[in-house]
Amino acid sequence: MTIADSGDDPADVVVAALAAAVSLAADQIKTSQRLAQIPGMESVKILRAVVRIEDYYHINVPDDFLFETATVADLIDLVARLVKESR
Amino acid sequence: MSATTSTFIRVPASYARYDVDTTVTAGLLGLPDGEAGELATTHLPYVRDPGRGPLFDHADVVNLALFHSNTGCTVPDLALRFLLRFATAPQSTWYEPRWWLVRVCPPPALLDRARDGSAQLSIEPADLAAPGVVPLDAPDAAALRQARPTAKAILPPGYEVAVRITGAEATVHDGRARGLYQEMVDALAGGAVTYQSVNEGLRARHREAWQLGMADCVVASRLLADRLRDAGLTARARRGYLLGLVGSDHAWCELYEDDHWKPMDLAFAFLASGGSGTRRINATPEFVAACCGSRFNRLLPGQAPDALPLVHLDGEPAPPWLPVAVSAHPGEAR
Repeated sequence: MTIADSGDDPADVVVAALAAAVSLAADQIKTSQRLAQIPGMESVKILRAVVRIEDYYHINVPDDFLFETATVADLIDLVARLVKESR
Repeated sequence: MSATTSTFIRVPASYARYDVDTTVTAGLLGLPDGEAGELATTHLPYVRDPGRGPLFDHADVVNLALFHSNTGCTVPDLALRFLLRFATAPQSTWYEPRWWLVRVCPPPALLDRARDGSAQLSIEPADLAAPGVVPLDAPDAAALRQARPTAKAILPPGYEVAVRITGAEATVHDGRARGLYQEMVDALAGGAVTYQSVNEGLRARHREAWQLGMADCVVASRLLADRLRDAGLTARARRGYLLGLVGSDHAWCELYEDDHWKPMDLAFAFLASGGSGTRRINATPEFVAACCGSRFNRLLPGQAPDALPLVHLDGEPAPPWLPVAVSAHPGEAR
């Protein structure tokens, strides 16, 4: 699944963007994982995933959040909140 | 990625340093090696090395990424997008005290050479006596480090500093200084001079770079400092780090006025007022105004005078394709 066909559920969009950044299948991304601990992940790839999420929803993820040692679930929750606030 | 040939100025051959191979080029462009090599050889000057294949100037490759990417995901695009995001945040956040754990890490390839004695690597230390910069005491620094328990130890000459940086809202009053500053902003915004990546050889000849129609933050800050001094004012160019998700080398000019060094940041002002496409910040007029006199809480100067390079290898500026990684982690002291 790519971000383009992941629908409107932030969980699907976030996982698809992260998976694409490291060339993994979406089911290989565990929501309990810290972003930096996803196999193959590095800072530039996290930023690429965030760009895709931001552009998809037209939101801005606060950079202070990205500094933190956030998990995939944390990012999904944040994106869901930002999307809700933007509508 | 599409590419044309007219939007940035290639480094003239007499100043070029053709030492970037297709693997590094691919990383910067975010493309597979073959595709990146084909694109770069089509649009950039290069020399062909029998062993390494085509070699490009690093600044040309960065410009190709910045000017012709339609993905917004090349390394230079990402740096610009995230580093300058603070400009769109509320004004108070530009100046409020901010605690930073800054880690400056040489890449393994350089460290290995330094440690086996085959090369001399030096990194300019941060200027911890700069206005607004206060080094944290050991307990506060430890509190910041606790937020990053997984961070690896940094080997010298890399270093880590924990600082509190406080910005200051101010404005430059001198009419001559404001005029010279605005003249340069207008030249960049009007396209008479292209804001683009410039290699270190041309940065050292900043007047010539400007005449060639190209400038980056180093060229612009050095030239503005020259012009301010020529006008009888006290000014200096500074170089340090812009702290953010990915730290970046940055340069700015400072004017001494009212017993203070006031930053004059042409690069920020251009990107906030005249940049185009992915190089434009959606900043407010207040941010543009702040670029002429205010000090932001995300800039950590190095000790090098005249905006000289921060990293040297065997007495020469280190190759830009072996960048020193700068990570800046904000936090709260105890």
